[in-house]
Amino acid sequence: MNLTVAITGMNARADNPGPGLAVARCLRESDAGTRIVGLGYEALDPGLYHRGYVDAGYLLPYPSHGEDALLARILELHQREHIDVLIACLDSEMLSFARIEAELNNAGIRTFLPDAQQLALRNKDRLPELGERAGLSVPQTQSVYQSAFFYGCEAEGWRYPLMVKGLFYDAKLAHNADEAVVAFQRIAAEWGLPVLVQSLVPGEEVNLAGVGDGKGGLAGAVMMKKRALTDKGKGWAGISIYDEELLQSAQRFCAATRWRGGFELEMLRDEKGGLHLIEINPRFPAWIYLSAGVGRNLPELQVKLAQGQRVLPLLPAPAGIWFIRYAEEVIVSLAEFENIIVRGETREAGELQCA
Amino acid sequence: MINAAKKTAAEFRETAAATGGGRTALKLAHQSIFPSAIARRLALSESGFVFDPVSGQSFTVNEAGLAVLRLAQVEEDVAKLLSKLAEQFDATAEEIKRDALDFAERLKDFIK
Repeated sequence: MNLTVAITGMNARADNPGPGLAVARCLRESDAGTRIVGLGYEALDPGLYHRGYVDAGYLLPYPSHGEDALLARILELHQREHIDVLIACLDSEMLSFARIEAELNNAGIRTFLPDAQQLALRNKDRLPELGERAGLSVPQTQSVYQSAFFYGCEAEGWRYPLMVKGLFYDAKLAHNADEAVVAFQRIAAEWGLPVLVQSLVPGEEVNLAGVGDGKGGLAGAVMMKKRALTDKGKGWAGISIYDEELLQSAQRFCAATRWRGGFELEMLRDEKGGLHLIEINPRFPAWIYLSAGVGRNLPELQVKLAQGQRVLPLLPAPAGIWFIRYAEEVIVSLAEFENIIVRGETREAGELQCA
Repeated sequence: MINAAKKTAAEFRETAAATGGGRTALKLAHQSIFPSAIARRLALSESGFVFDPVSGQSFTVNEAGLAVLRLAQVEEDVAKLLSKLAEQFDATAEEIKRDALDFAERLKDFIK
Protein backbone atom coordinates (compact mmCIF):
# COMPACT_ATOMS: atom_id res chain seq x y z
CA MET A 1 0.00 0.00 0.00
CA ASN A 2 1.35 3.40 -0.93
CA LEU A 3 2.05 5.78 1.92
CA THR A 4 1.04 9.38 2.30
CA VAL A 5 3.71 11.45 4.01
CA ALA A 6 3.12 15.07 5.04
CA ILE A 7 6.22 17.25 5.20
CA THR A 8 6.55 20.79 6.56
CA GLY A 9 9.20 23.39 5.71
CA MET A 10 8.29 24.00 2.07
CA ASN A 11 9.97 27.42 2.09
CA ALA A 12 12.99 27.46 -0.19
CA ARG A 13 14.53 30.91 -0.56
CA ALA A 14 17.60 30.41 -2.66
CA ASP A 15 20.07 31.59 -0.02
CA ASN A 16 18.44 29.86 2.94
CA PRO A 17 16.07 27.03 1.99
CA GLY A 18 13.97 25.05 4.41
CA PRO A 19 14.59 21.30 4.52
CA GLY A 20 11.11 20.23 3.43
CA LEU A 21 11.64 20.11 -0.30
CA ALA A 22 14.87 18.13 0.13
CA VAL A 23 13.10 15.68 2.44
CA ALA A 24 10.34 15.31 -0.16
CA ARG A 25 12.93 14.67 -2.85
CA CYS A 26 14.53 11.94 -0.72
CA LEU A 27 11.18 10.22 -0.23
CA ARG A 28 10.27 10.56 -3.89
CA GLU A 29 13.47 8.70 -4.77
CA SER A 30 12.87 6.17 -2.02
CA ASP A 31 9.49 5.14 -3.39
CA ALA A 32 7.93 6.88 -6.37
CA GLY A 33 4.52 5.68 -5.19
CA THR A 34 4.60 7.64 -1.95
CA ARG A 35 2.08 10.48 -1.95
CA ILE A 36 3.76 13.58 -0.60
CA VAL A 37 1.79 16.40 0.97
CA GLY A 38 3.66 19.65 1.40
CA LEU A 39 2.79 21.87 4.35
CA GLY A 40 3.89 25.50 4.45
CA TYR A 41 3.18 28.83 6.08
CA GLU A 42 3.49 31.25 3.17
CA ALA A 43 1.78 31.43 -0.22
CA LEU A 44 5.22 31.87 -1.82
CA ASP A 45 6.67 28.68 -0.36
CA PRO A 46 7.71 27.05 -3.66
CA GLY A 47 7.57 23.49 -2.37
CA LEU A 48 3.79 23.76 -2.18
CA TYR A 49 3.67 23.91 -5.96
CA HIS A 50 6.60 21.67 -6.95
CA ARG A 51 4.80 18.79 -8.62
CA GLY A 52 8.06 16.91 -9.17
CA TYR A 53 8.31 16.19 -5.45
CA VAL A 54 5.04 17.29 -3.86
CA ASP A 55 1.59 16.03 -4.87
CA ALA A 56 -0.47 18.61 -2.99
CA GLY A 57 0.32 21.69 -0.95
CA TYR A 58 -1.48 23.19 2.03
CA LEU A 59 -0.98 26.14 4.34
CA LEU A 60 -0.77 25.73 8.10
CA PRO A 61 -1.61 28.34 10.74
CA TYR A 62 1.45 30.11 12.09
CA PRO A 63 2.91 28.57 15.26
CA SER A 64 1.86 31.75 17.07
CA HIS A 65 -1.79 30.74 16.55
CA GLY A 66 -1.27 27.92 19.02
CA GLU A 67 -1.29 24.17 19.05
CA ASP A 68 -5.07 23.79 18.98
CA ALA A 69 -5.23 25.59 15.64
CA LEU A 70 -2.34 23.51 14.30
CA LEU A 71 -3.95 20.24 15.44
CA ALA A 72 -7.33 21.21 13.99
CA ARG A 73 -5.76 22.01 10.63
CA ILE A 74 -3.72 18.81 10.49
CA LEU A 75 -6.77 16.71 11.39
CA GLU A 76 -8.81 18.51 8.74
CA LEU A 77 -6.13 17.71 6.15
CA HIS A 78 -5.95 14.13 7.44
CA GLN A 79 -9.62 13.58 6.59
CA ARG A 80 -8.85 14.50 3.02
CA GLU A 81 -5.34 13.10 2.56
CA HIS A 82 -5.20 10.16 5.00
CA ILE A 83 -1.74 11.06 6.22
CA ASP A 84 0.28 8.06 7.38
CA VAL A 85 3.45 9.83 8.52
CA LEU A 86 4.27 13.47 9.25
CA ILE A 87 7.81 14.87 9.19
CA ALA A 88 8.28 18.28 10.79
CA CYS A 89 11.22 20.21 9.37
CA LEU A 90 11.37 23.62 11.04
CA ASP A 91 12.89 24.48 14.42
CA SER A 92 10.11 26.90 15.33
CA GLU A 93 7.34 24.31 14.98
CA MET A 94 9.03 21.29 16.57
CA LEU A 95 7.73 21.96 20.08
CA SER A 96 4.15 22.38 18.85
CA PHE A 97 4.28 19.08 16.96
CA ALA A 98 5.84 17.35 19.96
CA ARG A 99 2.98 18.56 22.13
CA ILE A 100 0.26 17.33 19.76
CA GLU A 101 2.01 14.07 18.92
CA ALA A 102 -0.34 11.94 21.04
CA GLU A 103 -3.42 13.36 19.32
CA LEU A 104 -1.84 12.85 15.93
CA ASN A 105 -1.03 9.25 16.82
CA ASN A 106 -4.58 8.67 18.01
CA ALA A 107 -5.78 9.88 14.64
CA GLY A 108 -3.43 7.46 12.87
CA ILE A 109 -0.74 9.96 11.91
CA ARG A 110 2.67 8.59 12.85
CA THR A 111 5.53 10.88 13.72
CA PHE A 112 9.02 10.20 14.97
CA LEU A 113 9.82 13.34 16.91
CA PRO A 114 11.87 14.24 19.96
CA ASP A 115 9.68 15.03 22.98
CA ALA A 116 9.51 18.41 24.69
CA GLN A 117 12.21 17.52 27.21
CA GLN A 118 14.61 16.38 24.54
CA LEU A 119 13.95 19.52 22.54
CA ALA A 120 14.62 21.70 25.58
CA LEU A 121 17.90 19.92 26.20
CA ARG A 122 19.27 20.86 22.79
CA ASN A 123 18.24 24.51 23.07
CA LYS A 124 21.19 26.74 22.35
CA ASP A 125 21.12 28.21 25.84
CA ARG A 126 21.46 24.72 27.33
CA LEU A 127 24.26 23.45 25.12
CA PRO A 128 26.87 23.56 27.93
CA GLU A 129 24.63 21.34 30.06
CA LEU A 130 24.08 18.95 27.18
CA GLY A 131 27.78 18.92 26.42
CA GLU A 132 28.56 17.89 29.97
CA ARG A 133 25.93 15.17 29.87
CA ALA A 134 27.13 13.76 26.54
CA GLY A 135 30.84 14.30 27.08
CA LEU A 136 31.12 16.83 24.27
CA SER A 137 33.16 20.00 24.33
CA VAL A 138 31.03 23.15 23.97
CA PRO A 139 32.35 26.70 23.53
CA GLN A 140 31.56 29.06 26.39
CA THR A 141 27.88 30.05 25.92
CA GLN A 142 25.69 32.46 27.87
CA SER A 143 22.18 33.89 27.59
CA VAL A 144 22.09 37.67 27.31
CA TYR A 145 19.01 39.80 28.02
CA GLN A 146 20.49 43.31 27.88
CA SER A 147 22.80 44.87 25.33
CA ALA A 148 24.85 46.52 28.11
CA PHE A 149 26.40 43.09 28.64
CA PHE A 150 28.63 43.61 25.64
CA TYR A 151 30.37 46.68 27.08
CA GLY A 152 31.33 44.89 30.28
CA CYS A 153 31.79 41.32 29.17
CA GLU A 154 35.55 41.54 28.73
CA ALA A 155 35.84 42.09 32.46
CA GLU A 156 34.05 38.75 32.88
CA GLY A 157 36.59 36.95 30.73
CA TRP A 158 34.95 37.19 27.29
CA ARG A 159 37.16 38.11 24.35
CA TYR A 160 36.22 39.67 21.02
CA PRO A 161 35.55 38.52 18.38
CA LEU A 162 32.61 36.46 19.64
CA MET A 163 29.40 35.02 18.22
CA VAL A 164 25.97 36.57 18.86
CA LYS A 165 23.18 34.07 18.17
CA GLY A 166 19.40 33.92 18.10
CA LEU A 167 17.60 31.29 20.13
CA PHE A 168 16.19 29.68 16.97
CA TYR A 169 18.12 31.10 14.01
CA ASP A 170 20.78 33.52 13.01
CA ALA A 171 24.32 34.14 14.15
CA LYS A 172 26.60 37.13 13.76
CA LEU A 173 30.31 37.49 14.36
CA ALA A 174 31.00 40.61 16.42
CA HIS A 175 34.51 42.07 16.55
CA ASN A 176 33.72 44.64 19.23
CA ALA A 177 31.01 45.78 21.63
CA ASP A 178 29.39 48.13 19.13
CA GLU A 179 29.02 45.38 16.53
CA ALA A 180 27.73 43.01 19.20
CA VAL A 181 25.04 45.47 20.31
CA VAL A 182 23.84 45.95 16.74
CA ALA A 183 23.67 42.17 16.29
CA PHE A 184 21.93 41.76 19.64
CA GLN A 185 19.23 44.30 18.80
CA ARG A 186 18.59 42.91 15.33
CA ILE A 187 18.44 39.29 16.51
CA ALA A 188 16.33 40.15 19.57
CA ALA A 189 13.84 42.01 17.36
CA GLU A 190 13.49 39.04 15.04
CA TRP A 191 13.77 36.05 17.34
CA GLY A 192 13.17 37.42 20.82
CA LEU A 193 15.14 37.07 24.03
CA PRO A 194 17.39 35.73 25.24
CA VAL A 195 20.10 36.29 22.71
CA LEU A 196 23.08 34.02 23.11
CA VAL A 197 26.73 34.91 23.20
CA GLN A 198 29.25 32.21 22.36
CA SER A 199 33.03 32.35 22.38
CA LEU A 200 34.58 32.01 18.94
CA VAL A 201 36.54 28.85 18.31
CA PRO A 202 38.74 29.22 15.23
CA GLY A 203 38.49 26.10 13.12
CA GLU A 204 36.72 24.22 10.38
CA GLU A 205 33.01 23.43 10.64
CA VAL A 206 31.89 19.87 10.05
CA ASN A 207 28.28 18.70 10.00
CA LEU A 208 26.43 15.48 10.62
CA ALA A 209 22.83 14.68 9.78
CA GLY A 210 21.46 11.73 11.69
CA VAL A 211 18.42 9.85 12.91
CA GLY A 212 18.18 8.85 16.55
CA ASP A 213 16.25 5.63 17.19
CA GLY A 214 14.64 6.95 20.38
CA LYS A 215 16.32 4.26 22.45
CA GLY A 216 19.75 5.83 22.71
CA GLY A 217 21.11 4.59 19.40
CA LEU A 218 22.10 6.32 16.19
CA ALA A 219 20.13 4.63 13.40
CA GLY A 220 21.93 6.37 10.56
CA ALA A 221 24.19 9.31 9.81
CA VAL A 222 25.78 11.23 6.95
CA MET A 223 28.74 13.56 7.52
CA MET A 224 29.50 16.59 5.39
CA LYS A 225 32.03 19.39 5.06
CA LYS A 226 30.73 22.61 3.52
CA ARG A 227 32.89 23.72 0.63
CA ALA A 228 31.05 26.86 -0.52
CA LEU A 229 28.86 29.22 1.49
CA THR A 230 26.15 31.77 0.76
CA ASP A 231 26.37 35.29 2.15
CA LYS A 232 24.41 33.98 5.13
CA GLY A 233 26.96 31.27 5.78
CA LYS A 234 24.67 28.51 4.55
CA GLY A 235 26.17 25.61 2.66
CA TRP A 236 25.97 26.06 -1.10
CA ALA A 237 28.21 23.12 -1.89
CA GLY A 238 29.61 20.36 0.28
CA ILE A 239 31.23 16.96 0.24
CA SER A 240 30.53 13.82 2.22
CA ILE A 241 33.27 12.93 4.69
CA TYR A 242 34.01 10.17 7.17
CA ASP A 243 35.15 11.52 10.52
CA GLU A 244 35.12 8.82 13.20
CA GLU A 245 35.25 11.33 16.04
CA LEU A 246 32.29 13.26 14.64
CA LEU A 247 30.34 10.02 14.33
CA GLN A 248 31.16 9.12 17.92
CA SER A 249 29.97 12.56 19.02
CA ALA A 250 26.60 11.88 17.39
CA GLN A 251 26.43 8.49 19.06
CA ARG A 252 27.12 10.09 22.44
CA PHE A 253 24.46 12.73 21.77
CA CYS A 254 21.87 10.04 20.98
CA ALA A 255 22.88 7.97 23.98
CA ALA A 256 22.67 10.97 26.34
CA THR A 257 19.30 12.22 25.07
CA ARG A 258 17.69 9.05 23.63
CA TRP A 259 17.02 11.31 20.65
CA ARG A 260 14.07 10.35 18.49
CA GLY A 261 14.12 11.42 14.87
CA GLY A 262 16.23 13.56 12.61
CA PHE A 263 18.83 16.03 13.78
CA GLU A 264 21.92 17.89 12.66
CA LEU A 265 25.11 18.33 14.64
CA GLU A 266 27.20 21.38 13.81
CA MET A 267 30.71 21.04 15.18
CA LEU A 268 34.02 22.84 14.84
CA ARG A 269 37.37 21.16 14.56
CA ASP A 270 39.89 23.56 16.09
CA GLU A 271 43.47 24.07 15.00
CA LYS A 272 44.72 21.47 17.48
CA GLY A 273 42.27 18.86 16.25
CA GLY A 274 39.74 19.22 19.06
CA LEU A 275 36.05 18.89 18.22
CA HIS A 276 33.52 21.37 19.69
CA LEU A 277 29.73 21.31 19.53
CA ILE A 278 28.35 24.65 18.37
CA GLU A 279 24.75 23.80 17.57
CA ILE A 280 22.19 21.00 17.34
CA ASN A 281 19.26 21.38 14.99
CA PRO A 282 16.29 19.20 16.00
CA ARG A 283 15.36 18.27 12.44
CA PHE A 284 16.93 17.38 9.11
CA PRO A 285 19.12 20.05 7.50
CA ALA A 286 18.42 21.59 4.09
CA TRP A 287 21.32 19.56 2.63
CA ILE A 288 19.60 16.26 3.55
CA TYR A 289 19.28 15.25 -0.11
CA LEU A 290 22.98 14.37 0.12
CA SER A 291 21.88 11.43 2.29
CA ALA A 292 20.02 9.98 -0.68
CA GLY A 293 22.98 10.85 -2.88
CA VAL A 294 25.33 8.71 -0.77
CA GLY A 295 22.85 5.85 -0.48
CA ARG A 296 21.84 6.50 3.14
CA ASN A 297 18.38 7.96 2.71
CA LEU A 298 17.74 9.32 6.20
CA PRO A 299 14.17 10.62 5.63
CA GLU A 300 13.27 7.15 4.36
CA LEU A 301 14.79 5.71 7.53
CA GLN A 302 12.73 8.08 9.67
CA VAL A 303 9.52 7.06 7.88
CA LYS A 304 10.31 3.40 8.59
CA LEU A 305 10.96 4.13 12.25
CA ALA A 306 7.75 6.16 12.47
CA GLN A 307 5.85 3.15 11.17
CA GLY A 308 7.39 0.99 13.87
CA GLN A 309 9.54 -1.00 11.49
CA ARG A 310 12.69 -2.57 12.87
CA VAL A 311 15.73 -1.25 11.06
CA LEU A 312 19.38 -2.11 11.26
CA PRO A 313 21.75 0.85 11.81
CA LEU A 314 22.94 2.10 8.44
CA LEU A 315 26.56 1.52 7.52
CA PRO A 316 28.77 4.62 7.24
CA ALA A 317 28.27 6.57 4.04
CA PRO A 318 31.05 6.79 1.46
CA ALA A 319 33.22 9.93 1.57
CA GLY A 320 33.88 12.09 -1.46
CA ILE A 321 30.37 12.68 -2.85
CA TRP A 322 29.60 16.33 -3.58
CA PHE A 323 26.40 18.29 -3.58
CA ILE A 324 26.18 21.61 -5.37
CA ARG A 325 22.98 23.53 -4.73
CA TYR A 326 21.17 25.46 -7.41
CA ALA A 327 18.02 27.55 -7.58
CA GLU A 328 15.17 26.97 -10.00
CA GLU A 329 11.83 28.57 -10.68
CA VAL A 330 8.55 26.78 -10.10
CA ILE A 331 5.79 27.81 -12.48
CA VAL A 332 2.49 28.40 -10.69
CA SER A 333 -0.86 28.94 -12.34
CA LEU A 334 -2.97 31.82 -11.17
CA ALA A 335 -5.65 29.31 -10.17
CA GLU A 336 -3.24 27.45 -7.89
CA PHE A 337 -2.07 30.67 -6.32
CA GLU A 338 -5.66 31.79 -5.88
CA ASN A 339 -6.46 28.55 -4.10
CA ILE A 340 -3.56 28.94 -1.71
CA ILE A 341 -4.59 32.50 -0.90
CA VAL A 342 -8.31 31.76 -0.57
CA ARG A 343 -8.45 28.15 0.63
CA GLY A 344 -4.94 27.40 1.81
CA GLU A 345 -4.49 24.58 -0.66
CA THR A 346 -3.08 24.16 -4.15
CA ARG A 347 -5.96 22.12 -5.54
CA GLU A 348 -7.09 23.85 -8.70
CA ALA A 349 -10.60 25.30 -8.78
CA GLY A 350 -12.37 26.77 -11.77
CA GLU A 351 -10.55 28.78 -14.39
CA LEU A 352 -9.81 32.34 -13.40
CA GLN A 353 -10.14 34.61 -16.39
CA CYS A 354 -7.63 37.37 -16.93
CA ALA A 355 -8.32 40.32 -19.17
CA MET B 1 56.13 6.94 -10.49
CA ILE B 2 58.00 4.46 -8.33
CA ASN B 3 59.22 2.52 -11.31
CA ALA B 4 59.68 5.51 -13.53
CA ALA B 5 63.02 6.88 -14.69
CA LYS B 6 64.86 9.08 -12.23
CA LYS B 7 63.61 12.67 -12.02
CA THR B 8 65.75 15.73 -11.54
CA ALA B 9 66.02 17.67 -8.29
CA ALA B 10 64.17 20.57 -9.92
CA GLU B 11 61.33 18.28 -10.92
CA PHE B 12 61.20 16.93 -7.42
CA ARG B 13 61.10 20.42 -5.95
CA GLU B 14 57.98 21.28 -7.96
CA THR B 15 55.62 19.75 -5.50
CA ALA B 16 52.08 20.59 -4.49
CA ALA B 17 49.75 23.00 -6.16
CA ALA B 18 46.43 23.06 -4.47
CA THR B 19 43.06 24.57 -3.66
CA GLY B 20 41.37 24.71 -0.29
CA GLY B 21 42.66 25.17 3.27
CA GLY B 22 43.08 23.43 6.59
CA ARG B 23 45.80 22.31 8.94
CA THR B 24 47.91 19.25 9.52
CA ALA B 25 49.37 17.07 12.22
CA LEU B 26 52.72 16.76 10.49
CA LYS B 27 55.56 16.64 12.97
CA LEU B 28 58.51 18.20 11.25
CA ALA B 29 60.36 18.68 14.51
CA HIS B 30 60.56 14.91 14.75
CA GLN B 31 61.29 14.61 11.06
CA SER B 32 58.39 12.32 10.33
CA ILE B 33 56.96 13.13 6.93
CA PHE B 34 53.35 12.19 7.63
CA PRO B 35 51.74 10.37 10.53
CA SER B 36 50.91 7.07 8.89
CA ALA B 37 47.23 7.25 9.86
CA ILE B 38 46.85 10.52 8.00
CA ALA B 39 48.81 9.38 4.96
CA ARG B 40 46.94 6.08 4.70
CA ARG B 41 43.54 7.69 4.76
CA LEU B 42 44.22 9.86 1.71
CA ALA B 43 42.68 8.84 -1.59
CA LEU B 44 45.31 9.26 -4.31
CA SER B 45 44.53 9.35 -8.00
CA GLU B 46 46.92 8.78 -10.90
CA SER B 47 46.08 12.31 -12.01
CA GLY B 48 47.58 13.75 -8.82
CA PHE B 49 44.17 14.54 -7.34
CA VAL B 50 44.21 13.94 -3.58
CA PHE B 51 41.12 13.68 -1.34
CA ASP B 52 41.11 13.61 2.46
CA PRO B 53 37.89 11.78 3.50
CA VAL B 54 38.07 13.12 7.06
CA SER B 55 38.39 16.84 6.36
CA GLY B 56 36.71 16.83 2.95
CA GLN B 57 39.64 18.74 1.50
CA SER B 58 40.92 18.00 -1.98
CA PHE B 59 43.97 19.29 -3.80
CA THR B 60 46.37 18.33 -6.55
CA VAL B 61 50.03 17.37 -6.44
CA ASN B 62 52.47 16.72 -9.26
CA GLU B 63 54.15 13.43 -10.02
CA ALA B 64 56.85 13.93 -7.39
CA GLY B 65 54.33 14.87 -4.71
CA LEU B 66 52.33 11.80 -5.58
CA ALA B 67 55.45 9.65 -5.18
CA VAL B 68 56.07 11.09 -1.71
CA LEU B 69 52.47 10.50 -0.61
CA ARG B 70 52.40 6.96 -1.95
CA LEU B 71 55.58 6.09 -0.12
CA ALA B 72 54.30 7.75 3.06
CA GLN B 73 51.25 5.47 2.97
CA VAL B 74 53.37 2.35 3.24
CA GLU B 75 56.62 3.51 4.82
CA GLU B 76 56.62 4.97 8.31
CA ASP B 77 60.40 5.08 8.66
CA VAL B 78 61.54 8.47 7.39
CA ALA B 79 65.07 7.36 6.56
CA LYS B 80 63.77 4.48 4.45
CA LEU B 81 61.24 6.75 2.78
CA LEU B 82 63.94 9.26 1.83
CA SER B 83 66.17 6.45 0.64
CA LYS B 84 63.43 5.14 -1.65
CA LEU B 85 62.86 8.63 -2.99
CA ALA B 86 66.59 8.92 -3.72
CA GLU B 87 66.29 5.78 -5.86
CA GLN B 88 63.68 7.51 -7.98
CA PHE B 89 65.06 11.03 -8.29
CA ASP B 90 68.38 12.30 -9.55
CA ALA B 91 69.18 14.48 -6.55
CA THR B 92 71.41 14.38 -3.49
CA ALA B 93 70.14 12.90 -0.26
CA GLU B 94 70.27 16.35 1.29
CA GLU B 95 68.16 17.83 -1.51
CA ILE B 96 65.66 15.00 -1.25
CA LYS B 97 65.33 15.45 2.49
CA ARG B 98 65.00 19.24 2.29
CA ASP B 99 62.40 19.15 -0.45
CA ALA B 100 60.39 16.31 1.08
CA LEU B 101 60.15 18.22 4.35
CA ASP B 102 59.27 21.40 2.46
CA PHE B 103 56.52 19.48 0.70
CA ALA B 104 55.24 18.22 4.03
CA GLU B 105 55.25 21.76 5.38
CA ARG B 106 53.23 23.02 2.42
CA LEU B 107 50.70 20.27 2.92
CA LYS B 108 49.85 21.68 6.33
CA ASP B 109 47.30 23.90 4.66
CA PHE B 110 45.49 20.99 3.08
CA ILE B 111 45.49 18.07 5.47
CA LYS B 112 44.12 17.97 8.98
